[in-house]
Amino acid sequence: MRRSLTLTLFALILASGAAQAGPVGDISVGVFGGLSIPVLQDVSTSSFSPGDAFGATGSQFGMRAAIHAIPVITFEPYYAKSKYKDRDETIGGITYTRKGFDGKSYGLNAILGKPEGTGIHFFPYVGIGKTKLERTGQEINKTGYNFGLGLGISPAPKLSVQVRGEFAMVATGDTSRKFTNATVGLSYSLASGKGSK
Amino acid sequence: MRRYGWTIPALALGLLAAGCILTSGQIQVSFDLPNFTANSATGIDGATIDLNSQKEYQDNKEKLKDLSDLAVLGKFTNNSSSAVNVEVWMTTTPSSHLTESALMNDPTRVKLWGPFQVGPSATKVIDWNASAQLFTTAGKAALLSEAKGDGNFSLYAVGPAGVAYDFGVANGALVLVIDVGI
Repeated sequence: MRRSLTLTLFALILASGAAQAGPVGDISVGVFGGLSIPVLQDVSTSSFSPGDAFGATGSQFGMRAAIHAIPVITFEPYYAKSKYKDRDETIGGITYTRKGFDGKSYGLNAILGKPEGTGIHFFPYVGIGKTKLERTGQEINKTGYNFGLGLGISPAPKLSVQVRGEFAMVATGDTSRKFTNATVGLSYSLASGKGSK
Repeated sequence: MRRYGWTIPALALGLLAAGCILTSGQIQVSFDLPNFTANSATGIDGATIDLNSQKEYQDNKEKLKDLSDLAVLGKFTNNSSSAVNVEVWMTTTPSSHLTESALMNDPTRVKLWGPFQVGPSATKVIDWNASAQLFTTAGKAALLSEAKGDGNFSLYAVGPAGVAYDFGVANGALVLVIDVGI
């Protein structure tokens, strides 16, 4: 029962994305911001509880452009900056502070359907890019991957509000630094392509 | 949809095929160090570390891929009237050297960390961020090799060669953040 419900939901999301295919040539630009939470980073397994899997909530903001170049798929180059909180830890009776990462990333998302459009619609997406995470004494500059699900609403012509939840990771050899992100964005349609109203 | 609809699921499947990359994490392991003293005239103390004594390390040793973050922490007290630059050296095979010259003659010695300067007759708790910057490239590589190997090595705190020094380290700890595939 649960499995068929999940499959149905997945099919509806795909159908929703495909239904928002829209005309080829549309371009929109937007900004976004929200929360970014480290997952399974610098955890202590001796006193581990499920809540420890998520680190202190950080922030993320950035800009993106959606280019509807081919039917069904929208390509979305993006640039984002993130900031994570410092972490205090008592070791040997002394409390130390380890600085949180500052991150910069750019890349390209492939969105099924269009994030903009009329009504309320869902759109799944995957992306690849380059992410740089820096803090004192440590720098990670590697390929990043992400996938997620967005919800788009158009409150006015040419305007779109998007809420997205995504899972992102930076590959560090055989392992990765992982994050969950929840953002809200606002996009404005610049040009309508062939077949737009 | 028929022509391009496969793109997203295919990309998602490719992402999931990464497997181990997804199912991984960074685990922090702290090793308490005994109090060290180091005196250019009377000798030095060493501490032999067996990483296997820590359950967190033991549980994850087979899945260890890399060292993500490192720090030598503690309270450094300079008993001398001139500033001292503290260095931490390791011997990749356990040892019990009592003098700096004996340590420097050990063929398995590697400079791990430092220098960390402590002012004349001063006590200073090192900052984690500053400590993370003081690891040498060779030291990181040696520590990773030990972490992936038998996990048994010795650490020494010493001053610069040829200079008089007298200092102690209390509440010391070696912190390793290890990258593990889960």
